[in-house]
This record gives sequence, C-alpha cells and structure tokens, in this order.
Amino acid sequence: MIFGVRRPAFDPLTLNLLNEWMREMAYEMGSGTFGDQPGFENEDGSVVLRVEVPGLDASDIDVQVHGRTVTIRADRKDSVPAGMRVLRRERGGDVSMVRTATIPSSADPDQCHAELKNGLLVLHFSQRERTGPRRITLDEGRP
Amino acid sequence: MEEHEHAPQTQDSLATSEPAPVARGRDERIVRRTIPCDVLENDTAFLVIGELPGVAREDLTVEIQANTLIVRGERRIDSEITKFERSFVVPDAADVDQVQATLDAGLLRLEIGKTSRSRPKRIPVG
Repeated sequence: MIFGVRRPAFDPLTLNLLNEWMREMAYEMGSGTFGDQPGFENEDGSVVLRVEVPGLDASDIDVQVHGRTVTIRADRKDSVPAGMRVLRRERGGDVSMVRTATIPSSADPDQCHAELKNGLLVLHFSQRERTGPRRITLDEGRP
Repeated sequence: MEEHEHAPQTQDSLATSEPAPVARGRDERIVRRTIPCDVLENDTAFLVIGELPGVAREDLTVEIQANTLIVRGERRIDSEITKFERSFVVPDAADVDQVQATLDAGLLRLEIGKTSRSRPKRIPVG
C-alpha cells in the first residue's frame, strides 16, 4: 500500500453483484406483516388471493395480470412524524414490495376484481368451469 | 437500533412471532400472531403504531390493566380465525388516563399522553 491507497476487499464486479442481490432481497422481503402470506384459496365459486398491506391506500398499490401471472407492487412511505423520536422500530419504515404469483388453472385470469379493506388486499378470480375428461377419437390411418 | 430506557416494554411471552395453528372444531383453525409495532415519543406523548391487517374496528380491543397495555384483535376469514395480540408494560412517564386509539386501513395508532411531571420544563434564568 502506497500513500493510503487500499485495495478493495472485493473486486468491483463482485461488489456490484452483491449490492444488487441485497437490494433485491430488501425489495422482496418487506417487513412486519406487509405483503406476507400470499396464497390462493377456493371460496364460493371464486379463487381468492389475499395480501396484507396495512396502512396503504388503493393509490399505493398496482396489480397487473399478465397471462397466468399476477404481480402486485406496493410502496409504503412511512417516515417518522415530525418531532417524534423512535424508541422501537419493527415495521421497517419505507418499504417497496413486489409479489408475483402464478394463477392456478382453476381460475380465469381475465375475470378478476380487487378490493382493499382494513389493510387487506383481496383479489377474486372467477372459477373456470370444470371440464370432464374428453375422449379423443383416433382417425384410422390410411393405407 | 438502540432502544430507549423508558420505552414501553413488550411481553414476549404473548408476542409469538410464529403462527401457531390450533385445531378447533372440524374445519376451523385458529392462528395466533403478534402485532409488529413501532414505538415513538415526543415531549408530550408516546405513539404506538401496530399492524392489524384485515381486523375491523369492532373486532379490536385495547385494555389497560395496572401498568400493562394489552391490544387484542381478531380476523375471521372463512374457517380461519387469526388472533392478534400484543402487550406493553407502560413506563412511569405514561399517563394511562390519556390514551387515544384509532384504527385505519389495518393500522392501529395508540397515543399515550405523558404525565406532566415527565414533560421537560424550561426554567427561566433570572
């Protein structure tokens, strides 16, 4: 080492990849109950997905269906109110969340409506009519 | 993060972070959860902000027993009942007669006033 120039512990490429990975982790993990427990359930003729988004308005949430994939993005701005001091922080402050789920085959991705109530986002997909097994007739091969 | 000496203390025995399903009845199940909370303060009050997604106002209770603040909420979705619970030991500086609670969009805000003795007092210099 000459004149205070120190070699980095990681080469820049490794460091960039690590930073990128950590950013993605933070983005995916969220905090508190925010965005926990996605999972589809069958209920009264529809397929339902619930995502917890406490403290959010509809304007903070973006829901997109693309093919059989539903993507929910939400941003929570949760800065400390002016003049307050933090004694305990469990909810994580500002959080961005992305949740992606594959819509089950029993649900119709084109028939979806979303509601937000008491900090719970509920997506309702219409259930597809079940079709029984279909017999395929075989054409006789020509000689 | 460093915690303040007189912050409301959580009672961890009630604050189970892992869901603990308990079978009840044939199709019903109960899940117990803690309530993630932020605790803040200024010179005049403590502010507790807790997450209770899906809990309606009528299904929430806030009680003070001696020096313990207890929050309980319940959410029922079909056959699953989720019970949220958290308790705090309130510090001496808190005035338990001055507690205001609001629940909006699954977010509980509890404002607990401070006793006048605990508030900073400016002493004029003669």
